[in-house]
Amino acid sequence: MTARPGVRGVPTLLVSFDGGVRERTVCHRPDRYRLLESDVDSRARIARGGGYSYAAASFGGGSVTVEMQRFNRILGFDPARRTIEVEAGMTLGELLPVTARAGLWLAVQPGYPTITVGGCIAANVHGKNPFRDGTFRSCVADLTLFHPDHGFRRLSETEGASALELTCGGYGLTGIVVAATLRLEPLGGGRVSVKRHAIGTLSEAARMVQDLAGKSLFAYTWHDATPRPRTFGRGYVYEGTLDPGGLDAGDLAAPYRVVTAAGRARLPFSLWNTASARLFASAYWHLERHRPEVTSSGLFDAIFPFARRSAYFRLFGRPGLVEYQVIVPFDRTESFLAKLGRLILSASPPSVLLSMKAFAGEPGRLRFEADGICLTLNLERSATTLDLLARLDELSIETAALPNIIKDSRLPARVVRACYPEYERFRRELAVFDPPRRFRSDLSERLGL
Amino acid sequence: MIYAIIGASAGVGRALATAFAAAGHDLVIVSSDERDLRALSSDLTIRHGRRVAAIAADVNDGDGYLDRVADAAGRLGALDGMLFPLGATAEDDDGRFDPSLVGALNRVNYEAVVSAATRFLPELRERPRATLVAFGSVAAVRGRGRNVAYSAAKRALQGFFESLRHACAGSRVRVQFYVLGYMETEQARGLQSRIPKGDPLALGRRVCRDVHRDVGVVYYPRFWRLIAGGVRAVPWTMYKRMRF
Repeated sequence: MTARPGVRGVPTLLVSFDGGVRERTVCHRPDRYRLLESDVDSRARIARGGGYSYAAASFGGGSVTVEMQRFNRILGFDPARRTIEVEAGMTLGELLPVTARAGLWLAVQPGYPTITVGGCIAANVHGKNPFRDGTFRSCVADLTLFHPDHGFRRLSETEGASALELTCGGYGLTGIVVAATLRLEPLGGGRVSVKRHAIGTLSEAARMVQDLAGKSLFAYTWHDATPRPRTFGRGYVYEGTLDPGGLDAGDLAAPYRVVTAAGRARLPFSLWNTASARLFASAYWHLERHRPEVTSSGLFDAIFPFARRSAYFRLFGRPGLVEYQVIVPFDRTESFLAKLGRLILSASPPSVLLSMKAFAGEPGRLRFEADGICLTLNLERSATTLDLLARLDELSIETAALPNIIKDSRLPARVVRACYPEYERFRRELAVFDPPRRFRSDLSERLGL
Repeated sequence: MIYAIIGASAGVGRALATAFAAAGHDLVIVSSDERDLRALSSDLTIRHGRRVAAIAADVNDGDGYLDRVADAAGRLGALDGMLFPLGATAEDDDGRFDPSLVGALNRVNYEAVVSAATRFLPELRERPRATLVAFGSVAAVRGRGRNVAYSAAKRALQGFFESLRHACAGSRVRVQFYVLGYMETEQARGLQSRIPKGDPLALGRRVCRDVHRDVGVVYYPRFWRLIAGGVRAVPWTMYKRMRF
């Protein structure tokens, strides 16, 4: 209600979503454009959206964190042209009801509703079916970037195309994404049917998701990843299709308990361990077998499956979790999976789950995008886990796989350099765009960017 | 119905605009931050399907903007109420009494509201139901060595609205005054206090819900009424030693 001359800095303890990085940092939360553009001094900055990056991409490196939650307004909506312009702090969960009313949606959405549009752009995230829909940059028609030396710049494919390319998947290092015009797709239905296929091995599942991805809304797998030779790799492939029919507005407004990075880590210990992971995996496997083969879910639950299942993340507690996500080229998937299986069975890490989906995309700069099978492994954070990850890093280098930078707060610069052929290009272009390097984070410092 | 919100682009003002638009009201919103005003106007129109007229104006520049408010309201229909979530504080409002600072704080926190309320009161009296809502601060409960001119202006505003409520008693115009405690806004950010902060959007919904009720003076969050009573009850010999 009252006006003050500038933005107030508040020291805040920020935690990466995986619990791997904790740092006390000064946070600014401008709520007006004039505060955003006057919030400039010699200190480095980094923007923060929902704070759901597993890596510390929105704090650290001595930077002031600029929280963008207040910039969450809809600036324009053109249903006929299927575009919507929103500020970067707009969450996907807020956006969905507005577009769905007009029979439209964002084709690429990660699985949690309070992730912001700015965060999706900075990390160039993917959704349920990157094989068919690509990554988030395919949804971005243009964006407005604020940089203290460049002011507000509107970047599109016709104006500032190289800066746009650098910003989509640029981890917030080119400046603050303030707004973006997003391309929408026809929704085509209000509910999602999910068909379950039981499978026995990882290789069988990889072939099936590749086959299904092109002809369904999504196809992903769940596997028992606990290190037991008899059960390792068994699981299910889930194939989703949109059911034609009306949208249930109540479904989109249904409440859920928001989990934040700090809230996720509230439990002082992890309830996931070898025994609980085995129990969970066995119980899940058996319970799923007795459910109908085809189930139907609301649109919200299908798009944001973790919104009402956040307990999964909370159970990792303060020690945190580790997610290793990697795209393995299709022709090397078999050998990668075989070696991965051997590694897990020999190291016996406290792994909780493994999931796969098919991916298609053009690799470039530091974007997590390529043709292949995207494999995600969740583990409890421990010494055994970190040792396993070091060996997985070597396996990724050996198989020309692409580990996801935003999902791993420990991924070493050496591995990124080896796996991302355009690492040096990204560094070079960033140095040209922003010579004083005004935007930094723990991630950028760790990776030598 | 149509409401004018003076000071609408951020904090409590933005929350009020959001709550009123969500409840189906058309709005005339006024703020000095033109870009934020444009953004808010688009947002409310697209999200809630309401008609929103945005007027970029700084109340420090005089009352000329009120003609534009009247024009905008006329284009939408007729005003059914006005809300005044505007105000300003200053770091050096600590008793040094720079006349220009005192004048500026008085203008934003008191005069601008009084001018607007009295300008539109005759028109509001003609409506079947109408409401005037102003916002004060717990900082004005008792004078102290900080926010000196701000608190005085807010206390004067509360006095004015009390008189206005009395003058409008028996008419169809409701006059309400909300005394705000710490709120989750940029102003109170970083404030080291164990007292919980109020949610601006919840306040907005509350004001919207009660817009036709004769609520008089409301403390928000409610527990501030007790705290304010306690602060008033502290004997001067003790109060003069307190630093807050």
